[in-house]
Amino acid sequence: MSKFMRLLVFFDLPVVTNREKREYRRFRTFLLNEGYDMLQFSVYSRVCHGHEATDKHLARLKHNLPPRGSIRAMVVTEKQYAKMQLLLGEPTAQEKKITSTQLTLF
Amino acid sequence: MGWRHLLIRKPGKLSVRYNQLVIEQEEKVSIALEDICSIVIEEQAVSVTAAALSKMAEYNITLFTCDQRRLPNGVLQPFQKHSRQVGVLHMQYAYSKPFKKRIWQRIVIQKLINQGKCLKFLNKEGADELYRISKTVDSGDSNNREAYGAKKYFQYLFGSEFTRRSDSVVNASLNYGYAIMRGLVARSLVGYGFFPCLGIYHDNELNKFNLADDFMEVLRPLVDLYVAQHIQLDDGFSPYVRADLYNLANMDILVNGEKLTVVNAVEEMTKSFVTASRSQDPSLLKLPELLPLQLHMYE
Repeated sequence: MSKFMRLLVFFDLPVVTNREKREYRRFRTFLLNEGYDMLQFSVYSRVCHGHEATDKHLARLKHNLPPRGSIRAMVVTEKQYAKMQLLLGEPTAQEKKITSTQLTLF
Repeated sequence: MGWRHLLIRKPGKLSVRYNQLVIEQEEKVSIALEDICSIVIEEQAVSVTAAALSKMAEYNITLFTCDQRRLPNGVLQPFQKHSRQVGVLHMQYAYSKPFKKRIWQRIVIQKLINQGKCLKFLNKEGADELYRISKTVDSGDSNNREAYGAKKYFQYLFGSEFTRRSDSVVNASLNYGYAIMRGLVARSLVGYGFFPCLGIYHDNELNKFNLADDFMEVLRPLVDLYVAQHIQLDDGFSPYVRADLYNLANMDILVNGEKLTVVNAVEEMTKSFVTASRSQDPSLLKLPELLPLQLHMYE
């Protein structure tokens, strides 16, 4: 059986002209519609269930890139992701609640 | 395919924004609809927007509502979403009698084996007797070995005093677990375009889930196993028990020699039923086999 992975997306997009702003908004909405969480500004992450799911989401990302800017994606395992250190600030409610556990209580 | 299960136990509001389910309680949290498999709302003071309900149907998320005693009493299902709905309906109507009887025979045999395994895992007597009964099941179970086995089984499991009709915490827990299993089976069947009211064996005009009831039979012993292991008669029906019963959906179960979660096993079972139906060959049906209770581990 597959395991849980995290897909991280980092982006820098130009937002000077109206057209660039529109492209930026479209890309951000796309990420939210796809189920990404905002980790912090310009850094989004998504839990993926197995390698096939990561590939699927990566393919969808590539299909929806804005024309200009700089975007990186990185896949890490859930274990590596959980080891991430928070050096300053507090984790969000979203982060505390939405881990890869299958049963979540609200 | 969804893999998350949510249990809503506190007042709040469920809505949808950006294809994510937004859960507003003291804090606001959102979850991708794509990842959700099922939701149980056991708190009465939860409001759900129409858009959220509609999206749940769209993503084939099973939404259970609960009554005052917090037992599941309703299921939301998508309405004829499958692309070949009429084709599947024709197929369901065209099942030959021998095909239906052979499928039911296989289900009953597997149920009896699982019941036997349940007794064995609990170190109780009677496992061998149930295995023996499982060898005497006719096509269509015409001699009703299922009922005979069930009677013996419950006596071995909970003692001769036990009755399914009393209002005990054991029965409440069993009903809760069965309701969840039934909903998950119905979810999978509907996802493959089946009309869950048209059963193979169960044929009650008042029952919307005859087909789900056919296929959930093999999963009942899983609930029995948990209840026999964890529930005492003088316990209350606590939130922990309900969460655990719900979490049975993520337990290991064996299908075709492979350990899968119950949800994935149900999916495999439905898929194999489609194959069996197409080729009219009951031997292609894959049914889950009980394992000792263990949460499925993704390596």
